[in-house]
Amino acid sequence: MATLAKAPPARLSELAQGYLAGLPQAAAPRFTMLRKPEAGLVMLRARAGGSGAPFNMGEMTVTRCTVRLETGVGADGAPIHGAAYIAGRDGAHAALAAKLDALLQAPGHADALRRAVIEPLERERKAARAERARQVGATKVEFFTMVRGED
Amino acid sequence: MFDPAPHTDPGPDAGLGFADPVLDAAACFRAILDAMAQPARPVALRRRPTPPAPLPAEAAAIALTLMDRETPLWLDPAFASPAVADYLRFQGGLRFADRLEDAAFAIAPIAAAASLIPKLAIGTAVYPDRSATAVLVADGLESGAAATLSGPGFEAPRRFAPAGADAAFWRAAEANGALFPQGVDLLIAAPGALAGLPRSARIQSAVEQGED
Repeated sequence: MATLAKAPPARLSELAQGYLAGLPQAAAPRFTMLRKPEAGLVMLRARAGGSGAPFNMGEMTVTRCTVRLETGVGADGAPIHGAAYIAGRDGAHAALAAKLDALLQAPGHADALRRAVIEPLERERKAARAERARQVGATKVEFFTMVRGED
Repeated sequence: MFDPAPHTDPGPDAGLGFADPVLDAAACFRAILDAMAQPARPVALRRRPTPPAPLPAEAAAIALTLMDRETPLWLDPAFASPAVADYLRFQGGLRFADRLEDAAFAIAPIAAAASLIPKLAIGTAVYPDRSATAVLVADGLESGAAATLSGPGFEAPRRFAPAGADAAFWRAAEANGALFPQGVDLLIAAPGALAGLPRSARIQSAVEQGED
């Protein structure tokens, strides 16, 4: 879920389309929108330091969506619901993330979808984090070499 | 602002909410406003959600339009089921009242109204707005015991006969009106239409003495 919510929408859509296009016509999943994408505000709670009292830091825009998979049931025979809560107000991103969340619970799709979508996204996110850490790391200043009064 | 935690699970046989949540709820709100402004006059309710049985679509439309987690709902056993509770929590973020007197809204069949109305909150003399609103489900708005009503919102006395209304219903409505400015407001939901019966409506003559 975190991977779906944090993925860049364009890349997520590209990978999802790639996976869905590879399915035979008969296996194409269908969904019912139980709750269409809707934007709202969520209060963020924060603490200043480990011993600080919690306070309301501010509100954040969140878009949520819930779908039901119509072309399959869970291992226990119950209907499969997919839900997504994403930061920001991109309804298409929330809808796609909710659909993929539902497919990831479907026995016939889970493993293939994990390989086709989730693993590449996780790899890319890790690489982006490492790249960012490298860029920041390059500007690190080694204070202990600045010693005054010698020579 | 929505509250994500308590209503993320739609339940096993979930119905659907309004097709267009914002505009449909606004249209339904307008219908309720018209119904309350011109009491005892049927107002069409076209845009309805599809709730799970046994909750009627019109009652669900009113619930999704007016109620949220700050207005505890008391649901009559005739309309209560786990699927309905899941539906109202998921689509509307509703909270349920454990006791009838704590409810801000009640949904019940009109046959249960006579025993229900006296138990609902009527507000206080200082805060008459802290009263409950009852949504009464009827099969129609024409074929029951009739009463002639007048009061604010009536151009002329009007005859009103919701299906399922009987003498006991009109006695309860009359006793409720006598509490004014305290008292309960009634919304009568029939297939495709609703009518309002606010506490300000005066019941002139109950049971068939129409003065058309």
